[in-house]
Amino acid sequence: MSKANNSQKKQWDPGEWAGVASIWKLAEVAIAKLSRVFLWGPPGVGKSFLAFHAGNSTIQVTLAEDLTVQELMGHWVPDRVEWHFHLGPVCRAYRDGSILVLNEIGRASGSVQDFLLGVLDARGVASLALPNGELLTPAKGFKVVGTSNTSPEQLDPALRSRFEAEIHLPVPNTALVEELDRRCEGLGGALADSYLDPERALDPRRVASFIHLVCQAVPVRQAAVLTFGERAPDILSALQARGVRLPCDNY
Amino acid sequence: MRQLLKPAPSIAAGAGPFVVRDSPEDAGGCCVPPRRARLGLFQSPLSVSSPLALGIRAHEYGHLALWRHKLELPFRSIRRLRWDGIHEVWIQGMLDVVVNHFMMARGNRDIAELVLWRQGLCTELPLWIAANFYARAEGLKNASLIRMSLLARRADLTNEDLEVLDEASKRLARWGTKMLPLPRRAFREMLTELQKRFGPDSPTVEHPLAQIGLRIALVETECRETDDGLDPEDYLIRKGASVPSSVGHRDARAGDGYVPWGPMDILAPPLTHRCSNLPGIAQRKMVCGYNGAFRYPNRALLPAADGRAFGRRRTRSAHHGTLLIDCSGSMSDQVTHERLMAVLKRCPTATIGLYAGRPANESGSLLIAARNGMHVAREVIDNWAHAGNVVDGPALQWLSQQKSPRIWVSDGAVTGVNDQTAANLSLDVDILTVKARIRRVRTLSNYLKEEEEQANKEESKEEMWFPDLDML
Repeated sequence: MSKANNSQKKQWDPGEWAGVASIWKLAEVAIAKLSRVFLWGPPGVGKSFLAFHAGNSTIQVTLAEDLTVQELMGHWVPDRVEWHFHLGPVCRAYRDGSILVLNEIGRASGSVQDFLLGVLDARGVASLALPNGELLTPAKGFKVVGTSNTSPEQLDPALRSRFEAEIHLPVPNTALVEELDRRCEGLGGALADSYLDPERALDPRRVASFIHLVCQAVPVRQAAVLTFGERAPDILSALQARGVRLPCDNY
Repeated sequence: MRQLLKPAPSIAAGAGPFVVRDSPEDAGGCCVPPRRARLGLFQSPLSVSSPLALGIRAHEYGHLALWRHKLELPFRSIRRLRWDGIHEVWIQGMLDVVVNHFMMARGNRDIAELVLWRQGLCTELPLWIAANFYARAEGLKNASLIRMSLLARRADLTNEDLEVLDEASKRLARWGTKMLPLPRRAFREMLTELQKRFGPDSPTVEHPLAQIGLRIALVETECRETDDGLDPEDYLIRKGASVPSSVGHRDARAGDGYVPWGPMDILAPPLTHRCSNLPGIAQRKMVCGYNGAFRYPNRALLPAADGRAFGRRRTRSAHHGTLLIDCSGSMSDQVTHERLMAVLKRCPTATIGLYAGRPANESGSLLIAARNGMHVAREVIDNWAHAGNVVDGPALQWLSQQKSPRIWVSDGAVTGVNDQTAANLSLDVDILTVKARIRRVRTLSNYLKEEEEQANKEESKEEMWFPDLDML
């Protein structure tokens, strides 16, 4: 890496300061050792991916303003002449001790955020009273990983305080960078370096789609236009200048 | 106005961040890599995607990549060349040949579209310009045409001269193609020989055709000289007119020199009126879901429906960030009490700041008109004196410290003390808006329209997919 690149990183790198290769390693440690973790960063960097692959049993829910508490907690469903209470994803994770990944937690409606206050309570005091009279307590292994594109400052203070760790992930997952480098030498580094200028960073999902198309013998220019749109000529020129060697090696 | 393209200089440079600026095609481009805590600069034609614009951008990426690979001449060597009396047009022109071939060797086809002039050649072309352009044409798509045009104007380029130029340009091309570090001594000897043979006699001689390349090259090299910490922005400001204006700000940047912002007072009058009392603020919309009243039986009964048969009322979502409104002369007709109330009706919890210069245009004020669901009385806004811009910079500084999303309602014209405009003011504003992620909206009407569209979009999302009964 160039000298200038190193000088830019002189800003304070929490990962470097903590003695790990990257902040993603810290995030892995946090998810493994803590039970309520909040990850935030730009879209596509791999927050949900990391959380989803943190354990064998994971339940993932993407929150939205229209999602109701009943959809998360559970609701009554008719079964011929009877009504049964159907547990929602949160209660299932609570009962089974799974890892609950709550994507876009900042976009949840007010009522859902209020409901999550109870879910995110510390193990000693946490319990959920269901409408069928059942009282659920968190099983061993239950964890919550919240992800968001916006900073935790946007969260309700009570909700924010329930998370044991807040981790800012401003750059793509190192695993993703390595994977891209494996598929195309230098591409992962290009993606990572693009985040040195966050306003103009590449979308990791688009980069993955681009290399996927190129590996399927789609001409490079066509693949670039399909995935990067108007930015295609600039991104290709920058990749060429950098010396990224695409699989077909034909720009 | 066409939206500017987003370049990717940090990929080529392996460093960042950059200040990105648009320039007309005629003005070429320039770049400065980031150093320490300083921002880099990437200036190219970004509002067009013509072959020439693509070529210029590719050329700038090439410069950044050479810097990244440490293949370019260090500044000491360039300074030595200047001390030796080598004209800037030879230094930069020959470096450009290396960059072009570096990019072509890496498979870039856009770079070949570069042209050396656009407005035609005069009949009397100095020998040094003709020779310089002859060498610079090496590898370009229209190289033979360019060289024929030059030869048609300069009959005194002998065959021997052409052989020397061909040899020089081929050597430069080889350095670029093989990605070799530029050998300092060989490069200096080459330039000395070329200048001795073709001129000019003095390194200070100027010619209109050499201006663009020179101007751009100066930024790139001299900025690196100042290791004591000169910002690219500072450098460009000191150079004044060499900063082409970005689209939409063209008029505002007519002034040269340095103009300071005016001092700004923040006025926080008592917020006496509740936004919740505005007519229509309590309107709520019906949302379908799995709880609430059983309002949509079709959704439960039809097998293909989504089951969201229950409905509940929900308050409309709104913008909760901060709005900064420019109330200067050019924008004053935009801001009326009614319009502000319309904004608050849509975004009752938003913070709204109004700013403008005072009548003498030596200072300005920022009036906080609404915050936390409360707003000022009509009389306060009516009696608030305002004239020119004067304090755009301090007002944006205030906005950058407020809650996001941050919206700046302004026509983009910015001025400092005495309502004067200058390049440094526009640059300050550009940097602030980028750093604080401030979105500029031209008029309040546009903002209201955008918000309305957003609300409609949300409502249409609420309706979601629902089977057409006629089709069943």
